Amino acid sequence: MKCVAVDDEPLALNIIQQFAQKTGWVEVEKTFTDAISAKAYLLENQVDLLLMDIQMPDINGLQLYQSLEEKIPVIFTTAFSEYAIEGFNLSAVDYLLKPYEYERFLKACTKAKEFIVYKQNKEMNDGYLFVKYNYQWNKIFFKDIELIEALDDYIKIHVPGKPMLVHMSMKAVSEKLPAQKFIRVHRSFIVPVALITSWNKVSISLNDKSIPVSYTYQKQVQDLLNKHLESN
Amino acid sequence: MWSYIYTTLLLAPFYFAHRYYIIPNILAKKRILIYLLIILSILLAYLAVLYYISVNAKETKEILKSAYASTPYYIYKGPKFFSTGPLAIFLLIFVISGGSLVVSSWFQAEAKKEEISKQQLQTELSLLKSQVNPHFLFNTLNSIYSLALTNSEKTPNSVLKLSKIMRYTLEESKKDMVLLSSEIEFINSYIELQLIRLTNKVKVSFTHNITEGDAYVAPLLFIPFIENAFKYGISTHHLSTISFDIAKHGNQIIFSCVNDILPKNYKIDGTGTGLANTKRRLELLYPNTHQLTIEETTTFHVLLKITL
Repeated sequence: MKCVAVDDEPLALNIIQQFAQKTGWVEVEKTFTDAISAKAYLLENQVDLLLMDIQMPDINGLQLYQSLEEKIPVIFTTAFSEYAIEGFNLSAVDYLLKPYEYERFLKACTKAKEFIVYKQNKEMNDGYLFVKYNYQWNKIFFKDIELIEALDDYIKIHVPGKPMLVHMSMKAVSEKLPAQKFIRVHRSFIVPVALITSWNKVSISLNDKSIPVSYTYQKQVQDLLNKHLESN
Repeated sequence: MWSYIYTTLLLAPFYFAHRYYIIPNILAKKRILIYLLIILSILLAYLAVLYYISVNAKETKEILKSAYASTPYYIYKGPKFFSTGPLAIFLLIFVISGGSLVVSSWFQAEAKKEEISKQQLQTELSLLKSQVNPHFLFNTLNSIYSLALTNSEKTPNSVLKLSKIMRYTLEESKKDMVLLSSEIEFINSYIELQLIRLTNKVKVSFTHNITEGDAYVAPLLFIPFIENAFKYGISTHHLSTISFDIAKHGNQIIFSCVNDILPKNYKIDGTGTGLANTKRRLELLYPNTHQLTIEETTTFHVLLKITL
């Protein structure tokens, strides 16, 4: 779980880094003492979780969060208990009252992870995309996709029944799919993680099919699949 | 002459009974009719006793025998005791006993009122007495917690600084007056603790100069301004400077606090109650002997002069 931590006090960030390291699965990608730079970073980059103080010199954490267009799951960390209700109004995942112990931090991060997984599953179950096929736009639910295969300028989307041949690039389609649920394993293949039955460094099995894992994507595939192993 | 004294003495029990029992227990309970009846019956009893005494007195008998012996009965106007004299004395005693009670209870009420207003002032002062902000406390504890987690060498010293601050605010602040030098020491510890929490984008300076001996001041007098400077004068984005100075020349103490005014695009403005409380406290503690000027230009400048 990639997270960004924002706190005006360097020592408070130290605590977050230490605790995150201790969990083994919370990865502090970047820390900011300066909330204004943090905001700029969050507008440009994708993160899973935000750990943020509320009372900061230049900008109030609640206001910073409100100003973000994309609502990243957030855990507020503060010494001010009176902000708790307002924090939860902004649908914060959790609220850590400083100083907090490791167990409390772990609980908050676990809650965040469960929330993220829930959201991803929901997206997987209810989400869909439209593709142009047979001169018309067709709705395809993410959960129905069994495999995506590249064929020159086309992609072949395997769904129950007849596969659809769509004029689209692999890059374009992968951007539309939920990142945690589909994985590019090869220049020519995107597979749904849920259908993987076995895997090793060089190949992935989906029931009866065997898909090669190319060298370029090896590391990415390993990381993502390891992450899925951990969260189960 | 003696007869007047006798009659007055006869009224002594009435004086005490009236003042300590009849008024507080009967009149105070608004039983006015009963009160009047009691007073009337006491008056009648008094007159009856006087009559009995006067009739039986030798003097009277002699007077009756001599002066009035030849006078017809209807001209006889009765003994002197029975005239306006005793009645006036009775009324006088009645008024004095009631009046003294009124006066003494008025004095008691005044004293009570004064005590209450004194207490109210004391309460107001202790309420206005700035406490070190509890948020500062928790944030500092969090910083020390962080230092301890990394086994930092700074941990023990920070704990000592914090305990100094806590002892000062818990114990010294109860006193009406403290030494200026201990107030300065307290401010020093406070600033040092703030510094472990801040980034290096803030520069803080604190200078002090006491000449002609130490002085006594009210505790925690300057800390609201210092807290304020740390609240509004720092940034993690921009560079900023805060400077404090305390000087004592002769019988004058001058406190100065300067902090940058930062662009506050997002910040919620404070309610200003902190400074309002401090102003009120200064008015109560140093009426007419202090001068507070707050200047807002490119910096926020607080200047407080106190004449001891």
